[in-house]
Amino acid sequence: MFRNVFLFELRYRLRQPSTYIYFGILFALAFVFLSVQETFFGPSTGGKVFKNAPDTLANFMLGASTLGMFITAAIVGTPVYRDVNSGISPLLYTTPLGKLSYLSGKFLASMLVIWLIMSALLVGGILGSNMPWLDPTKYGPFRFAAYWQPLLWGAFVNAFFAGCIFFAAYALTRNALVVYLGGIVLFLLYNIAGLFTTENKNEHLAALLDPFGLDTRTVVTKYWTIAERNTLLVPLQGEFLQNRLLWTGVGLALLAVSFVAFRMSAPATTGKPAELEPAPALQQVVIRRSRQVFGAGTSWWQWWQLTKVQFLNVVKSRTFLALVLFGIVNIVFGAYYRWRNDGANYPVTYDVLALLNNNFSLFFLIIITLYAGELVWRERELRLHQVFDVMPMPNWVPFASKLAALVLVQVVLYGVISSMGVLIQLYKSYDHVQPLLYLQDFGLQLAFIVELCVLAMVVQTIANNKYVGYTLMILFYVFVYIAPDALGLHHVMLKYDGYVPYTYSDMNGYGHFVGPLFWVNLYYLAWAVLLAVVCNLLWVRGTETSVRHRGRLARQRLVPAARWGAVAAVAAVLVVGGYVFWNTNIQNEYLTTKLIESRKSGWETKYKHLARVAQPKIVNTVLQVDLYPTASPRGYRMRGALTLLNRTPRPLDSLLVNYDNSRSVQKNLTLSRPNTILLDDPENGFRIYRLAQPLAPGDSLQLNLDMRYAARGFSSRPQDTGVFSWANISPEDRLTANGTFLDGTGITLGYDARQELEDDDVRERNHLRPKERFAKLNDAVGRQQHGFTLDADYTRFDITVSTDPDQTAVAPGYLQKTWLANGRRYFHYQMDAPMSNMFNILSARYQVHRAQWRDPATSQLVAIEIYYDRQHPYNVAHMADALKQGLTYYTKAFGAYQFRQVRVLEFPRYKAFAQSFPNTISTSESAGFVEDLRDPSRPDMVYFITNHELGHQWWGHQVVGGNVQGSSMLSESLAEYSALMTCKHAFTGAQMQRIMRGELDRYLKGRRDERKKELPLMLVENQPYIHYYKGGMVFYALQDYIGEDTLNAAIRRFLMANRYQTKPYPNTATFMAYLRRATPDSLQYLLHDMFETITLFENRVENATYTKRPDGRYTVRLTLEAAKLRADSLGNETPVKLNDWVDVGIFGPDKLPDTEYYDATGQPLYLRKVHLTQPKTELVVVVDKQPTKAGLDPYHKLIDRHYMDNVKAVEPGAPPAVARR
Amino acid sequence: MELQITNLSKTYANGVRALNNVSLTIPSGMFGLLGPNGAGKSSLMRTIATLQEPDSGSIRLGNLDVLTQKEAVRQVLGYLPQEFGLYPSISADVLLDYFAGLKGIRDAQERKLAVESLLHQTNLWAARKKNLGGYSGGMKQRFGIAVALLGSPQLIIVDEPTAGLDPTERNRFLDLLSEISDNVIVILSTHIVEDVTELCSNMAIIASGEVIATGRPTDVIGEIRGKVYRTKTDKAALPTLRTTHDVISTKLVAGSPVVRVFSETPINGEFTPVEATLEDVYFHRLARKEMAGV
Repeated sequence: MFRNVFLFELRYRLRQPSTYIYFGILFALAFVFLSVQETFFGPSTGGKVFKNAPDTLANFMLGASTLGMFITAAIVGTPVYRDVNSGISPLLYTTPLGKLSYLSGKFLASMLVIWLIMSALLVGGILGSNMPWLDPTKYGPFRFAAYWQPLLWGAFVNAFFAGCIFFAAYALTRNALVVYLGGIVLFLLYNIAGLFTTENKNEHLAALLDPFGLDTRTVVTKYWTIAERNTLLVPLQGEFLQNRLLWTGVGLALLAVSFVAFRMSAPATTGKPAELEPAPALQQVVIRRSRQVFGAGTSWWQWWQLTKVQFLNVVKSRTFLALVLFGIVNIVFGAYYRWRNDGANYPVTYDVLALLNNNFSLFFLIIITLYAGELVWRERELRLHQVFDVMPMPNWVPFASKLAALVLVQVVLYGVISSMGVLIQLYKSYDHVQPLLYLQDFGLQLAFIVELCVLAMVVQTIANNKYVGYTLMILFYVFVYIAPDALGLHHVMLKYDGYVPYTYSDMNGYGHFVGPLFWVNLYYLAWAVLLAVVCNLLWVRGTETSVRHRGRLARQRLVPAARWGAVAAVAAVLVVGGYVFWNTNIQNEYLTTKLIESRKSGWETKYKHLARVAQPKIVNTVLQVDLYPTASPRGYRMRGALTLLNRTPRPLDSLLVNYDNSRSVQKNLTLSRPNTILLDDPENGFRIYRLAQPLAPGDSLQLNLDMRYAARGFSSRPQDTGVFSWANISPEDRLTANGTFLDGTGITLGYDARQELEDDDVRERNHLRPKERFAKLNDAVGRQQHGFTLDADYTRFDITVSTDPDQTAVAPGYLQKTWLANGRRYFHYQMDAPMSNMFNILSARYQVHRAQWRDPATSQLVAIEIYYDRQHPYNVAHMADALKQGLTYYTKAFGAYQFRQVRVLEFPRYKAFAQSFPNTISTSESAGFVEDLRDPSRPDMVYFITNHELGHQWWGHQVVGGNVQGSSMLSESLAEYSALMTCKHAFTGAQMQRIMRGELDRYLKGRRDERKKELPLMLVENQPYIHYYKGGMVFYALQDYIGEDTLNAAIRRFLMANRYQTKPYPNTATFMAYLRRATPDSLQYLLHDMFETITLFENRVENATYTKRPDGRYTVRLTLEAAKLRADSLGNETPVKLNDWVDVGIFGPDKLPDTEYYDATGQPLYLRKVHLTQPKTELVVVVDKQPTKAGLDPYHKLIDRHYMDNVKAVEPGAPPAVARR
Repeated sequence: MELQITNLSKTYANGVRALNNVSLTIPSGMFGLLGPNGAGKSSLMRTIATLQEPDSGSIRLGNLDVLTQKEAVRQVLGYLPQEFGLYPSISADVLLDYFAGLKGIRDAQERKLAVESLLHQTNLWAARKKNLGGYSGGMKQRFGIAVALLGSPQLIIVDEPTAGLDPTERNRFLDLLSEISDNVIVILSTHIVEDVTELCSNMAIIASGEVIATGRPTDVIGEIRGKVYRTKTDKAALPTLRTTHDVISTKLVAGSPVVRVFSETPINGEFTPVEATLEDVYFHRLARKEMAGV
């Protein structure tokens, strides 16, 4: 019996073309993933990670099988349903076939088929990774296990438990939609598990909770180095094994329940059976002839009636309510985690909207896809279609009403989630709720939703098979949302319904994004109309499904109205599309990644030989900048003169000038001396002047510039990546109606190798050789160059900015004068101290908070000014206080502040950084101005960031490294250290622990994504994970070892000796000499470990017990394990001899309620640095109070990849035996 | 008004030839479409009901071209498919009201009256508030009839309408049909010969997609009147009898076969002449058709 069912189901599946289509899709996915250069599946691949690295393959298999969930639903969720739907179930159920044979036959055959389909991942992958055209350096040795293992415990297990759930869902409820509901629950769990991973302490929960195992892998491998990613198989043990067992168990349990509960009988009918009444005696038959009205009015009326019915049908179903509930749960979790992070913002409306859209966009996709299928197939699945389809309504009525119902459902959903948003804001006691913004956002989303709804309906109609329709939609999502760029769909006009990213800023509203958003949406709405017409023509009405007859019917339906509709839609597509095209490709240059890359590589090939041509330096900048932020078109004019001085010992006869190559910027550059233009390359923005008379050493000339920018419509904005993204805003977009933040003139001198393509993968595909990121530490040329501005040392600066009369414009320097003229406001700023040639120009309708600080040593007054948007007053006073405390610490510890003023200015959140310019710090509205500081237990990131940027006034503006390795340590690590020290004195111990944990975590995660090579701190090549986070860790630990004052004094001596030092610029070796002098001999090894090598520790408390002594004190016995490792640039580790001083601590009960098991926040009963030389050390300590926890390096000062085992609870132990050993 | 079907043919994608050059003229009144299962009755009716496209041929309803003027046809059409489902969680009166709207009965009062009247006619009044999911097969069928009769259809097509109805309901329904068939074309497909005999003024027999007889029932019977004989035999003799005579049908009466045979010439012996029935014509024609087909 079982055999019959099993073989029948298997044969059925193997005869279905869909089985092979599914196989083909997964095969192609795997093949492409492993054989095509541009990876599109998951980030952080490439670089030094092999395309067939076990870690990459595991991620791919897990991800692909997650996407393949819909296939599992179609194969394993449907067999019982198919029997019921085809009406064969009454026949089957009345045969002697046993329930167990029936269900298990169906289930196992379906399972076998889905596994066969999933095996396409392995076949496609192996084939793809062995194609002859592949670059062998990108592939590691072939390892079969790297394929089959993740297939087995990843894809097969995923398919298995999901199959169980889908199968059980239908068997239990007899409702096909519930099957998909099961799928959605799985995605929901995945989503929630993803949220849990944002906090380390919940990682274990996340690792278990994610049904697909994706987060589990992330958690298990999050600190894996490149070497490990290339060689290690994700081990089927620990959390991974638990996760797989858990979900297999859940699946089996549900399956068992469904087997027990399943009845071999017709599905239960809804409602009580209506009693049969005997037919009454025949009455006089009078048939009522009702008046029927036909015409356009009736059609619209019918459309509305039908819409209501279809809409209510969806929203009143329990399935839909469950969906909405899941969505809400998802949002609640999302909100909980979003606002738990350190540095979390107030729930400002745009942030809440982002949260809602992020957490609900997947739901929208699922709901639209599913319900488009449900609505299109509704009558046919009920077999009501023959009755329904002969109703005298025009063809467009059923189609349009279903479409309207589908859209209405989304509107209701949107209403629900928006109310959730408002509730979240109110719950967070946030009073600046912006209902209008919710509405505006809704308007934007609506266009997007309508487009998608139409597409989903069209696909269902054309495919005329629900599951094929779903498959096509998923493929569409992959093409448009996941892999458009890998597939060459760069242009915004090639991605139907492609998400048009925009950024709302409180300062600038929707700003100049409104135009492109409007036009692109209009363009796709025109497409939607065209699709709707097509859908209407091909709409299946009646029982005719053959292609030939559908074509004939379509021609029949092509009545004038349809024809004109189509013509109008095509015209709109052409006109609006033409307008978009005109903007993106004609008004502006259409750039793709490839084009940008090939230009850069061309530039490098052509001009690289000029790299060593000596150039004069910019010594003085005088500018007159006119900003037109609210004019139409927006624009600026920048006029001025750069004084160029020959500081070399030789005369210079040629000048290499780089300028902004944007078409929207008109450039007029002239020299004050006779010259000829030897070469001009406007595409690359590069020009060579030959001077008639060489510029003698010590002599100077002027470069006069006059540049005008006028916004020209909108562009496709690829910028660096070629991806259509508003986030990658072009320099011109820094000129905004309220919140301009320009950055320099765009004019530089000389060939700047830092502009070359850097990523070796990218270089290779552009036929360039791999390159070093930076010049060596002692490179003679590099050390003559300012680390940030190669063409200038410390300079003088004078600027006059004019702007709208209601705006304030700010640039580095001191305000000399402000005046009104020609209806514009002018500001003249001048700097009276040498400064790096880095300046910003900001202009907005600012409020200003003023304070001042007096240097206690010199009585020098420093004016503090915070320029902020009137909607963001929250943290302004606090920032001023942070600056005061920072100034106090820095002047005392390091030396005087070089300016008489410090300003912090807010700019729109199109960029999320804060950057320090001379006496002027620009801070994004998203970086501190709206941070919610109401919870005093959290670390205060406003304080931290503000003081980091203030620190740069010393580190980066008083001392700058040369253009060599390690220089970013001198700016970033020292600024990070400075900020950490201000925090150390302002924060509680627990807050400080959280900050330092963040530093450690980000450093370790950063190593995972290294694309070239990890370097020791003193050789850092502008690698943020090293110079910020490792730098912060290292300096913080060092002050702990050698003392804060000792370290600061060494740093101060370095600063004093190297302040404004130019020829040569200092490097980290210079700096290390000061540290070495300050560090006692016994701790010199630290400098080697921390700065010169990549050193890691494996510290662990293996065992900790205590016994009470007769005198009331406690004896604590500790077994400590310690190991010290050196890692190479890819993370290959080798053990080194342990000879280290490490903290050992014993603590009383934790003082903070939510202390983790791996942290100790109690009073230290014992805290001392212990000299460790052996892998295992036994330690006996007597303490006064009852101990609770003990730890080796309990405060995580050293870098340890497994820091969760450093602290252990102290257990009561047996009374001490007589001397051991 | 008259329904004119000319040279209608249809072959399905799987090769089944559902309609083969079917031509029929159907006047007002009840028209019976008789044929075995799979003869193409439903295909024909679906095609007339605008649900399906023929490969060739034409259908005209009065001045309307049914194949191209579907919209106009649907305005005067009442159709009851052979098999259909209903929204399970809606009550009968609500769904009927909904269909009444789709039938163009826009006036709410008018709709209410129409719905009430039809619920009474189909004897669903008492169960009108019940969810359709709880309806029995017969009740569903009656509901379908109510939908088909909504408005004032000029062309009513009912596919196997009496299947699933008990005898009382069946009579009631057939009475209803004949009552409204005065100026209306009612096409009734069935494989129950009695239905046609009792009700229809015109009829056709189709088999294997072909019309094998058409006309008034009496005329159709006329062609074999006086040529039908009956005899009793035993089971063992049946095969022999089949080879020697043109057997129309056999029926078991009290355990032994009663055989009706067709003969152009009088036959004697065991055989007694009997009054020809439509059923005889039906089986006779089918047998002929099969012979021709072999």
